Amino acid sequence: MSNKDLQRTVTVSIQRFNPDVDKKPHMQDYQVKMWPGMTILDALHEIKTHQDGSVTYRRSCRHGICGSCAMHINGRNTLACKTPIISELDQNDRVTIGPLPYLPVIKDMVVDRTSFWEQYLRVKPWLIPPENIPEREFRMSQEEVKALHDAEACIMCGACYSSCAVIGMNKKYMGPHALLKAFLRVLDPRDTAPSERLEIVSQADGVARCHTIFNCIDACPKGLNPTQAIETLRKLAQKRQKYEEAKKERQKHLNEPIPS
Amino acid sequence: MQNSKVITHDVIVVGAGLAGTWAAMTAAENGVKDVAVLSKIHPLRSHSGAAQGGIAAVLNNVRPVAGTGPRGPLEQIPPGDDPVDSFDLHMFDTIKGSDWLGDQDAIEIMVKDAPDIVIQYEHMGCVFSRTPDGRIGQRRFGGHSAPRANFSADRTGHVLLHTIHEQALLHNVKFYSEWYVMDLIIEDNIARGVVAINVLTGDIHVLRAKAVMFGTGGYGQAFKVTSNAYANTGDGVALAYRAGAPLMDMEFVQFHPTGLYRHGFLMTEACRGEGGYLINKDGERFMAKYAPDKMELAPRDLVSRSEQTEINEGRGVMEDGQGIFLDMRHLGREKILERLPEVRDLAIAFAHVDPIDDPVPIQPTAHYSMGGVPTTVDGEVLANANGDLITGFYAAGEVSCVSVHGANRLGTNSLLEASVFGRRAGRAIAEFIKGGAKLYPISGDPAKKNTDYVTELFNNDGEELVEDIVQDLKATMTNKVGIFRNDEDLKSALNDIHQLQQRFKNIRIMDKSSRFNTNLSMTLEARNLLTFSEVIVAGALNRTESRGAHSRTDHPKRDDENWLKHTMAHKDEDGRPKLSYKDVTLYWDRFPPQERKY
Amino acid sequence: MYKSTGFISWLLRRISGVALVLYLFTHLWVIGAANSGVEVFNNRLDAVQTPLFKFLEIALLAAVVYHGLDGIRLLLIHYFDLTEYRKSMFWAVFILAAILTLIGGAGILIIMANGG
Repeated sequence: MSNKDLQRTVTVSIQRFNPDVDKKPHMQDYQVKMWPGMTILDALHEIKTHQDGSVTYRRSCRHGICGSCAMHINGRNTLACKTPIISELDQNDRVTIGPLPYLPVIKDMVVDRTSFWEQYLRVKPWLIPPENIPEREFRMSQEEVKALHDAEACIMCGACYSSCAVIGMNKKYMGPHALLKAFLRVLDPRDTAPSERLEIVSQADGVARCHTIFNCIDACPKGLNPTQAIETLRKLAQKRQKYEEAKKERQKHLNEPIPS
Repeated sequence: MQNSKVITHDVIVVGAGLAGTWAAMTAAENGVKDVAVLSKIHPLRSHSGAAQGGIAAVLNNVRPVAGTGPRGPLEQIPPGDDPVDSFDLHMFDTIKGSDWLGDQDAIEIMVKDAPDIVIQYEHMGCVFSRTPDGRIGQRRFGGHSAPRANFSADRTGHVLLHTIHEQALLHNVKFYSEWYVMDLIIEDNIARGVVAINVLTGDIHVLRAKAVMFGTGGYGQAFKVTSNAYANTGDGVALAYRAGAPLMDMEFVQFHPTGLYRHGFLMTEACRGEGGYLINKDGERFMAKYAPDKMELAPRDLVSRSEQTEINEGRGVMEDGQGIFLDMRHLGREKILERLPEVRDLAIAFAHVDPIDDPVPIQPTAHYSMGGVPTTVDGEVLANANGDLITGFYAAGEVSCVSVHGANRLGTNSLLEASVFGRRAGRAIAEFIKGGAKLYPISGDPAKKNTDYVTELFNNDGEELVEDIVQDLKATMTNKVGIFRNDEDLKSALNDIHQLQQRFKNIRIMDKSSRFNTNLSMTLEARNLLTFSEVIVAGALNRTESRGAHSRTDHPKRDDENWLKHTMAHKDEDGRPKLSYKDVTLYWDRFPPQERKY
Repeated sequence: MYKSTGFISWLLRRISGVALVLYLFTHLWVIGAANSGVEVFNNRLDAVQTPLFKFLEIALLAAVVYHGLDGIRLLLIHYFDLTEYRKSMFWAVFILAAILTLIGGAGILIIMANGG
């Protein structure tokens, strides 16, 4: 493709909705001249600052670490800042943008994440440490850290949560984000409440509600795997007693060097 | 905007990054029940989370393998063996990095608080990368003489932010998410509260408090190529300045050497810490010319200047010659995947190269603001160069200037600063509140004043779009107040800014709705950009020397005799920065000024 | 609804599950007639031998086969990390179920055509 091609004008179709003035959501088209490397977020910025200041969306870091700009682009959830516009154009040079599904729309692409954060709080995301705190750091092995890598990389963007068909039908479901967080703490060797946590996720709206639809994995902009975390929690929940004992055993040696 | 309320809290913290959250949590931990944190974006979106490389602390977990040289492999220190690092060394590195403008008493406190705070993070559940025997992993970083960057892959800031936020929730800190603070109320040198917009509804409220703390971050968005988020518009410094507080050392803006080409996103210094090379058009590791000893791990200002010199002399890469290559291929697939996964992801997503197979194009990017609101080592904001305080006003993190970074910051010292001084501010605030701090009355009607201002903005159907003014400001700041400065450019920049401030009076806001109006908040942010940019230029113009990140081609030498002092800027009656100077605290016997060579 | 293969898979699982429950009640209704004497039993049996019900039988086969195969898929997912193969596993179930339904359905239709 020649450079000229990459700088042509394309159509950005945005779902608009301001509950204060609109009866229902409607699509509005904007024309944007691309530049090489332009992302969806760049296109939105161009529209908002030069064409229509009322187009509203969340954003901050521009490089996929803050999690603000998760939205629905061409039928799937992803981060606007990491999506090049050129890869999203259909045969009519059009890309379609809307808010994350299943959540109440506050304005345009800004959605009400109250239920999302409530579920996050529900799993008690903070560490519940052991009582004897050493002077120096607890010892964790490199393997233990590796097992947590997925879960700690989660930026809480909500792409997974609002792609989950279960959430679409049942707002009380904990959701992949919260369960991934719970998984982080359950597997963390320093956490002393595995039973309590497994109890929490074994509630009616916990791991049992995951139907392995796998939308979360497809949506996750960080390539994480909440479904596997949920499966692991399911298995551990079945052997709660044993897991708790294994943990207690591990915690006896938390302040000792990892043997090589 | 119709329903204005007066909300009262004991403590109001503005900004929910590391500094603000530490202050809030520590205050709560120390008995202050009523702490509220206001953030214009959700707390977990704060830019602290974008930090990548690590947090510095003398933990002595790791040392270079004997006989392998300064870029060789690292190994864990067997228990009982001699340590390789010390507080004195960390202090010296920081002082030298600051080009002797850092206040050494503050640096000493930060360095000595460091191990404790990193361990506290770990005890709170932070997942760090580890040595084989399970201790916190450390790596090399620019300007540090020993490997003391405690890291979690290349997302250290992210894990620290999430951990401290969780702890704040555990301590019942109240978060006002998506409340935009547009005014700070200081009367008779006493901070009384803030005025904030509840972005969701557009209502403007007055929040009264016994203590106000700012953890509002930096101001990289004044520049065209920056690593900073859209949110980093220096709201805190602008608000403080307009409310009568001074700003210190604003002219010192750090340009990070490795921002992704065109976009400016941070490619952590750890890329070089793990062994990456900087290559020019001719394929040479040009740092050998500028810093033969430390090479790519010289401090950031030096590396950025070196890169810019190579670019200016025609040895840059990419079509416009404005780039430099960061070559990490020799690190190997495994190391990159394990230690630099986020950075690899960025390179692939935005530059379409895989660092495993190809060099990555980078360029200097506006990254950190050494300057800010001057504070004591306990986060208390100074009213002037004499050291008088503004009662009940605190600041920590990038918005503040203690000063621990002086004229240039070393990598991994910012996560440290925000954490250490955020915590200290929290303790100081708790003492202040428990010691009987009063809730002072606020005169006039600040809610009405600010509501009227907003209405005025809405009704001002001028011809200019805010974005055009912002883009022009960015061009001015990048081209005339960038890495290399001179008298002519700076004077021209000052002129440009005055013109832009005039143009701002002729703007038109397109969205006039009250619900979630980010058009409005972006306009208010632009106003802030124009406010503090003038202070940066004024300081740079007056400082006729080169020190740290402030480099003048017409005054290329460091001038300790005339310029070993901090720039303080107050807003005068005409709204222009009035400059005064404050001494630097030095331990003349321990760390006297030296020539800064790497 | 957020469209995806996973969602279709789940939807079919639900539908086939409900269908199997309905079948169970129907089956009990027919067989239960054994308690009500030969005539009632024969009537009910005849009622479910009509061509309509032959087609429903094929639908039942589809439900059984799909639900069973999907059940096996779920068991595998539960015990092994097969995330990488999630899409192919959905399709494997769809296709296998379709094939078995076609073969079995053909069989049912042939037997019906031959008056059996």
